[in-house]
Amino acid sequence: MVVLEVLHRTLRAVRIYGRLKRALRGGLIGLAFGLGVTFALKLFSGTVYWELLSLGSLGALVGVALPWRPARLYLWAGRRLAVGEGLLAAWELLRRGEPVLLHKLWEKLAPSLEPPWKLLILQRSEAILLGGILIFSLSLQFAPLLFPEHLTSSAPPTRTVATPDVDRISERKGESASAVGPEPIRPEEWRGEKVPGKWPERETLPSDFSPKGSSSFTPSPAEPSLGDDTGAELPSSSPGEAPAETREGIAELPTQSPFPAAMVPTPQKKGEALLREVEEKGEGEAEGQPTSETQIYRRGDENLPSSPEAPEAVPFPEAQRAGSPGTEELGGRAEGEPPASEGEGIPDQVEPSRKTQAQMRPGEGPARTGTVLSIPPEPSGDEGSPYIPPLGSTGIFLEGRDLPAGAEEIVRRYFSILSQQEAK
Amino acid sequence: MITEEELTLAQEAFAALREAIAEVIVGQERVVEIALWTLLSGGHLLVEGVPGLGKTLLVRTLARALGLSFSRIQFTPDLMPADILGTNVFAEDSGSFRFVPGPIFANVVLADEVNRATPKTQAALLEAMQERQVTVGGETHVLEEPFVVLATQNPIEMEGTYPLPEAQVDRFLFKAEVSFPDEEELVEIVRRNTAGGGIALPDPVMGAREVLLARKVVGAYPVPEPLLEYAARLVLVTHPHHPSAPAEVKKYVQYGASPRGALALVFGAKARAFLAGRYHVALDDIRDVMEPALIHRLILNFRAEAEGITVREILEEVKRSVPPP
Repeated sequence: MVVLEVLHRTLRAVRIYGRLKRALRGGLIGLAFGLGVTFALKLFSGTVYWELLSLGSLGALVGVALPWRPARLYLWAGRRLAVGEGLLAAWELLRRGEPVLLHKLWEKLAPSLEPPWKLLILQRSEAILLGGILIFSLSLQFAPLLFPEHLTSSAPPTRTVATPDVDRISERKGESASAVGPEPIRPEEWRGEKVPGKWPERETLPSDFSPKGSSSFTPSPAEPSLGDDTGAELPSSSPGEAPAETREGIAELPTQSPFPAAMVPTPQKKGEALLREVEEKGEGEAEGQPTSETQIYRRGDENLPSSPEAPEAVPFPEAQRAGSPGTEELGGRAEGEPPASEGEGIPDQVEPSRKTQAQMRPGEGPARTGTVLSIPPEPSGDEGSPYIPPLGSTGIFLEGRDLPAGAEEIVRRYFSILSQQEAK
Repeated sequence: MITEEELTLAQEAFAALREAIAEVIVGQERVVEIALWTLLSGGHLLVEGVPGLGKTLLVRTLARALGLSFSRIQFTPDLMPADILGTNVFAEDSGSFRFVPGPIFANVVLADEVNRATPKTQAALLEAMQERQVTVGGETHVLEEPFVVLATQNPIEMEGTYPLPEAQVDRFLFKAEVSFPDEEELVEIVRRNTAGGGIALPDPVMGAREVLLARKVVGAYPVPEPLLEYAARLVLVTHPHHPSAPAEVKKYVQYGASPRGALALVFGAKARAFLAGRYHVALDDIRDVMEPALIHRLILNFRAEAEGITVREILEEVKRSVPPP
């Protein structure tokens, strides 16, 4: 009787743990299926439906509810519990009512029978399935890293660089900056002109000002980088003639110039450099250009016409340049002496300060941003068709010019006449 | 329902029988094992081997140790059915016909070189094997249990022989192939046979009662349903037209095993478990019994003969192709 009781108890435990194992296996399979569907949907639609993981619980329920033939259950359990077909034979003998054989059989099985809870131990296939589920889960978790949006997006990434210059000036000036407003430091030629009342918050960084373009020199560790210091954007103004508020702002700036002193052209040296450049281009080329009215600003390999009002690069005041680390890094050269090597020459990246007013002209892409916009030059005879802006966009060129009221209307009419002639 | 005394008696009797046979027969453990399966299963055994390997000695030893009646029939081409079954003889004293039983009326019958008799005589023997009764002159005579026929046949010297038809071969529950002894066994055989006084057969260690009791015990052994299904699948896939038959079966087998093959698998598995001292049938029992139970039930085609494919190779492929439960 004791044997029968023990056998009944063992068979009951086997049934319970067998059900639990089927629930576990069903849950794993359901979870794997849900993850597979989730992953597929993520691949095709980009959306992760985590709700599909509830298929795991559904699989567990199915695993519990599915009918299981007792003979199959005990055969499987007997093999897992190290008694082979013995457990199944015991159940069969119990069912047929063979107590003698059952007693003899149980005497042989009991010493080697493992506890029924070991049925819950994962087998190799189940462990592999569980590992696959974990890998799938991790891959879904980190799917944004694996599939970044810019790889799938059709629009090219736009590169915008904040202009920390004005912001930092405003921050450093505090209330005085806000009272004066973000008036830029302007060259002397622009004195009296009214700058736009609102600075653009962001503008595209000119390619010449990119770190790549300025790689010809290496600033010292003490020097701020190009993008970090407002001094990089303010070399073309004369601080001695700037408004008082601006001078205060500049006085609070770091005394170190981002450029070595020799790299900041003086007006005289700049003019000489431009003159040599124009002379090198030859007479034929120079004759076709209104040299008296147009200055050639060399910006890399691109020659851009500019209006006569375009400012020249103005160096920092002597007080700012004195004792700057950039001067110490000249390697023994005298201040203002032209650099010996090409990499130390006048940086082509130096740009007129009016670039902060740059606006995109119609028909131009972001590649032309950073160029100096101004009133286009007069057509000079047979030089081809000049650029005539659309009539509706004339205001762009007049904006911020602070022209007298009558003059603005005259300019508008001027462009209107030009447009009508072009249309004819 | 069997009792513990019956179980113990059967186990002890067959343990003694194995020891008695081992005292006479050198080696050939597999053949002895298959012979005991046959005895426990109530079937008949076909023993195949070249002359001089001790087939007849094995049968004689078994019959003697069992304590059962034993008869030997040497099959020849001129052997008639009446020579086996018996005939009605006129009795002058009573003025009537009296049935004289033939050598088939014994517990253990050795049909030596059974393939040398004519088909008519073979058919008479095989009918008695199957029906366990003999009908002569309109009168039926039941054969006494246990009734075991151990037939031998010689695979060589096939000239002048009548190979057993497939239907008749199928009536043997198992087929055992007697292999040639190795050197150690051969030395022992020579030593025992040349010591003088001839070979001493063992004394009986059991009787018909113990044999029948052991059959009852073995019959009570449980064979779970998954194992029955496995045995059935093993037999089914030997048929070339079965959808699950392996490629080798479809290519080389002409006829597969009969349902008697499945019976032989289960009977042999039970007997093997009993002789192994276990109380339940395991999967290995079925797989081990498979060859002697099915090897004479498969008929290969001419292509297999031409390519030298044997039934044993086909059975191994069948065993591989059927997944265990």
